[in-house]
Amino acid sequence: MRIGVDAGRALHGYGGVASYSRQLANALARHAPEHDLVIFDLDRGIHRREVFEKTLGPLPSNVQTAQGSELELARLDLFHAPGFVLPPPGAPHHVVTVHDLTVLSHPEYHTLENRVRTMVAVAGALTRGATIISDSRATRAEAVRLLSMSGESLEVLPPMLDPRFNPAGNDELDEAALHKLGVDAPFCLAVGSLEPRKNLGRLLDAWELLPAGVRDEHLLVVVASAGWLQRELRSRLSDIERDGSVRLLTRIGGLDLAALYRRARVVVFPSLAEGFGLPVAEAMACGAPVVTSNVSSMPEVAGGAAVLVDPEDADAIADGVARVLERTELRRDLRERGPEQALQFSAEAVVPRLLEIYQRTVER
Amino acid sequence: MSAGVALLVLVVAAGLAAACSRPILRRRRLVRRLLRSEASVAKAVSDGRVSKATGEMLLQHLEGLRRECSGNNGS
Repeated sequence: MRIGVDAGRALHGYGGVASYSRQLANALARHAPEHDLVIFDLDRGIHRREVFEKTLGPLPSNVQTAQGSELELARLDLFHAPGFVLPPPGAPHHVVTVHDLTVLSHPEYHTLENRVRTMVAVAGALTRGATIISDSRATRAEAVRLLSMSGESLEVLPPMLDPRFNPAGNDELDEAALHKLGVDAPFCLAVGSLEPRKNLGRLLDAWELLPAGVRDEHLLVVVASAGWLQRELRSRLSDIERDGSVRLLTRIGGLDLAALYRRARVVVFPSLAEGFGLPVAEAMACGAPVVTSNVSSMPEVAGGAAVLVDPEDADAIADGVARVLERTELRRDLRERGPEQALQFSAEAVVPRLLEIYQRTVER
Repeated sequence: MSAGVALLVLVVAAGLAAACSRPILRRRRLVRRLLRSEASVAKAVSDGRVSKATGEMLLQHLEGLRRECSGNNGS
């Protein structure tokens, strides 16, 4: 097959969709050598190979880069759009990943522009007769409920994790990464963009509810990318950061993030709604004990290998974090089970299923 | 008032006017995108490419967004 993939978000974006696009292009390049892969940047039309290689690493010979002209698209068997950006018409078949439908289920967490962009993309995917991939069964259920789609018309396939997220790491490099980031005390880690859905405000409430001894002994490290509708949270984070108990880190690369996951006493991800919940899977892959929400897709991703809490209840979040910090046995158990659960999100596990979806799509 | 000051006032006024009209223009652009999207959904339903039930739900969501963009969300 000649497969086109938009990797634009991998070059210019941040957060879950950027990570998904990067891993999709990387995994297909390295785990599907029998197919030809053409990588596009639909955001900015970049097509120089060396620009893609800066982000994706050296690309094998079965991979080309192209600008996205009608002619180039027409030579493809199918085009996979992972970032809510549809290509101009041209490719005979389309696969579109719908990461979540929180623009419909929780419109209050999104800007009007986000909601329009997402819904126009979803409508475009459906009118083209694209195969729709949802990241989780929870998102598929949302599509059935909110768009009256039939469950059979939606494929469920999880995102793939960056292989740097693994439990082994390298002690010396991890230590150096933490030193560079200025994180030396034992710490709890939260990862997510600064947007209302991620519930960081309530996490800060929960942090304040923890026993003083726990807070004195631990730092709360928040790794956050830019988001929206969070002016108050930003100023609150700056205030708390000044008193030294919380550390906000931005623009963190994959290696540094992996080091943080591996060294964290606990990773907390109390999101209110997700299509998947990538930080949960990444943290588990690194062997970090995880506390996450008992709603939306998070129980599915955690697969019983994390502590689940009610994300709307700061006391419950604090209790979950305290339980993990205070019980060595529970921490050890989660550290063992997380990497096993995360194996299903490896490229080795996902690429064969993805290729089956592609095959079904071109045969339709 | 010297010519320089008058020019400065004009430039500042033009800048303010541009800044004020930007959100309006952005919303108009969104409305145009939504209208195009609604038309293609309606056509896809009539061609049978999208089921009637899904098409109706999509149109309902797109129309709701368009009303919000136009500042008329029915509330």
